[in-house]
Amino acid sequence: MKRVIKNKKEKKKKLFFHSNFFPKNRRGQITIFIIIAVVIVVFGVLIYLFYPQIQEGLGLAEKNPQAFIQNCIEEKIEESITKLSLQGGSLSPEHYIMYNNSEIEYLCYTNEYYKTCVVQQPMLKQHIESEIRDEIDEEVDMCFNSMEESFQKRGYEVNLRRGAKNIELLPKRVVATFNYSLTLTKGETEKYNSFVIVLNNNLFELISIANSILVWEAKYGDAETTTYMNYYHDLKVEKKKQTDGTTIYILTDRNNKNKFQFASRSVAWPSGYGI
Amino acid sequence: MKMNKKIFFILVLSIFIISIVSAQVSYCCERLVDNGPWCQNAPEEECETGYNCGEDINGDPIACRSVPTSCEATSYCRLGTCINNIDGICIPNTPQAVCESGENPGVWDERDESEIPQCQLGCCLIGEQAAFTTLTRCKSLSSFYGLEINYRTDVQSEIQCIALAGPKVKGACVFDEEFQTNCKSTTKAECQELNAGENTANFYEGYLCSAESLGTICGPSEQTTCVEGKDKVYYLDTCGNVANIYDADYSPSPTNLNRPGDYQEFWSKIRTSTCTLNLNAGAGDDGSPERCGDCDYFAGSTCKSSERGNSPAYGNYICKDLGCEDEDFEREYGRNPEHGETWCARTVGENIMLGANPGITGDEVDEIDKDSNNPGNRDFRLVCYNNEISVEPCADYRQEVCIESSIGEIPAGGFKTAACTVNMWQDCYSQTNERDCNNIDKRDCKWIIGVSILKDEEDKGLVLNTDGELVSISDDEDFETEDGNLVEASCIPKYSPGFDFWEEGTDAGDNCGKASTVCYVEYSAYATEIGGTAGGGLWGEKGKPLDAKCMNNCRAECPIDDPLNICNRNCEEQCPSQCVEYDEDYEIKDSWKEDMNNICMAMGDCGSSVNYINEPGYYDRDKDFVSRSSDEEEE
Repeated sequence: MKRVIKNKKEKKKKLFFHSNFFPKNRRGQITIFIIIAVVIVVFGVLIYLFYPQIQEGLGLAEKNPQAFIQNCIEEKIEESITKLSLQGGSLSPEHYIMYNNSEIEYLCYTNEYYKTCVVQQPMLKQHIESEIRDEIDEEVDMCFNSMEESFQKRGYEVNLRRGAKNIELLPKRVVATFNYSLTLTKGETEKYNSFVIVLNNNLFELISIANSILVWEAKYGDAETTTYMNYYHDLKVEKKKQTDGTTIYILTDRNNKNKFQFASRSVAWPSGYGI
Repeated sequence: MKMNKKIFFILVLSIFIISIVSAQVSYCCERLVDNGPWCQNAPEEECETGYNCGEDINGDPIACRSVPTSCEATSYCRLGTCINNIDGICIPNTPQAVCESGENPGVWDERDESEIPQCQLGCCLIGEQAAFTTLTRCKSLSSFYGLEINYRTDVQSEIQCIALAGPKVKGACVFDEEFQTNCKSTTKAECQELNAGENTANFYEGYLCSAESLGTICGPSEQTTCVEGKDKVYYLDTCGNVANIYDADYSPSPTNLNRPGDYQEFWSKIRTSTCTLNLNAGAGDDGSPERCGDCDYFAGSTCKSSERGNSPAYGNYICKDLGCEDEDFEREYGRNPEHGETWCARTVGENIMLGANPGITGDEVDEIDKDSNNPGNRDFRLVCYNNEISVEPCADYRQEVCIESSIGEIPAGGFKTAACTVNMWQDCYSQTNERDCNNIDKRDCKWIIGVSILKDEEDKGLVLNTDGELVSISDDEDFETEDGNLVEASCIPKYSPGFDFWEEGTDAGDNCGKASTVCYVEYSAYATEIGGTAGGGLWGEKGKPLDAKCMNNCRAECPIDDPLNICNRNCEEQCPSQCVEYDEDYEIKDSWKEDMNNICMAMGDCGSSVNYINEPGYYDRDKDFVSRSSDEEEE
């Protein structure tokens, strides 16, 4: 009896491997594997695209409103910071120089030779804060709408009152504060008066250095990179002078590779006498 | 009628002058076209005239202004200091319109920042940190960190201020916790915060938690750590408190059999370093990074986690050498660059000597680095920090040059420093004596003897008088002589500048032209159909004598067109100084040609040269010289 069972198992195994599902010829097997690979890729793409909905459908959506907003908007803020850091603090630079495929905004500029530059962006920190805030504005609304919808689907009565959005660059971090008031009621009531997202980033420190370089550029037309690297041991300051007299400064935090780059044209020298 | 003509002439002249002047008028543009920069002096057509200069309080766009004057004279583009009252930063050279625009306007002040009270700097001490900044900035920083400030206006320099920054006195804070005597290495103030309710914490200044006399649960450990904001490697005690600077001799490891006599004290009290780091010491030697954690960023090392093949005797952290690797540097100086060293990038090539011809002699600086002064060439400064070399280009067209020096002897203990400095070549040519020419405080020039760039009214080179001043040969002076000949001299740039000679409308041609020397060479020649007669002789086409023979020490080459009537002149009268130099066969000496070309090259991107990648230019020097003698012609 035992023998029979074993034979049956072997037969089943044989049937499986000898079936048309796994063709005998090599080319057929390769085709099958390709199809499987394509299916896996498509499946992966679908999961990626519809992850929030899938999460929601499976009841895995974030139950903490604060965490929901953080997950939703964090990437967009990081993206904006990275982009504007490489473009002299502006997401759409108006007056810029192209360098390594980046449009780098002039923070100080003169179109004349031998003269020190005129500061173009004296309120750099505030400018960057408003740039980030404007950039994430729509995304924030979408995130809150999505959160509202998500909680409503889960049977909550949602009362969302929209308020001000604020971005603040602080030492070692960027803080996004949304003064939105949210009340969730499902039996008991939960109330959230504001949503705060904190991102670890050294933009504040890099901007402080940029401001200092800017002062040197405006006063003397140049800045010494090693001075800053001596004071700040984890800072890398690069200075790239261009043929037209523009200087591009690249500030990099050696620990986390946070970068801020900007351009200045000050005390430019012509070829010859320039007359 | 005559009067009318005069008036007409004056009128036409006035219109001409006015038109020239008006063409040159510069406007102060609040903004340049195409979203350009703010507040620039530029021609009118470059000024933005649309509504593109911000918004008013109602949110309506503001039209950009432009007036035919300098920006300094306008109300909106006057430069002053922009005070950021939120962050306490003062930014100079800011136009009023720029400072006061935008969502977060600053406060504009026409005074220099040194005259504005809000911009006065002082020493801001926050925690263990210090910053030389404004009071507003100090308050702003303290609010970020939630710490109290100590703002000292009596400290007037950044160096003094930073020297004041330092750790507060630390010690061991001993407290009872879960029936055990625990300990935390901290400041007195922080220790007092642990004193709450029934908990009592005692502070022992200068003590380590591992001190046996304190009777805590903490003891010596062979674990080490890096501390944020500090360079050195520190021991940890068994409670995780930071102890003294790592010194393998004091390791509590059972394998460390030769513990010093003050071992107990090392683990009891806070001490300065007990070892001196020597990055070049062999592994296992005293002071080697393996055994000593006394890293110093300024001396070229800092605390980093160890890597395979680079492990300390104890723990997982080591003083890492922050130096860099550079083959060229090593080839030249016999070692790799150290952390913090800066040096100039060099191009490989032979130097040419200005004055290879004995007729032109210079001092020891009469050496032109041929490869560093070719068209397209540029100086670079290299900077070694944190194991990385960054390249800093100096200004293009050699308007900046890289200069370097060293502190001490290289390689033994020496340290190289370099900087891009402004090439002050502009007024070299106009200097008429050696003293002014070699005044390094004012210019980067050098004095050469043998040829004069400066000419008198008759286009003859100036010669030196006995006072060493260049004067015209026709002046009534006592002239300097050398071997019976008058001495010509020139002041030329020490580092020849670059020109954008390929662009139209540049001054490259004029600058190079300063070195042009017309030397007249007299020939005897047969008459030809293109030649003419002058001075009783027959002359060939300029530069192409059919049967020419140079006359010794004479430089008269008569052109067909002879407006100066040179050909009628006596040769000696025409050629008082050495201009062209000939060999025995009356051939122009190659060395003379070389020197003339070198003078050209010293003026800038002039003459016949190769470019920075050694490609020859379009200009062929040899075509400019008559090089054939009558004998050769006959041959």
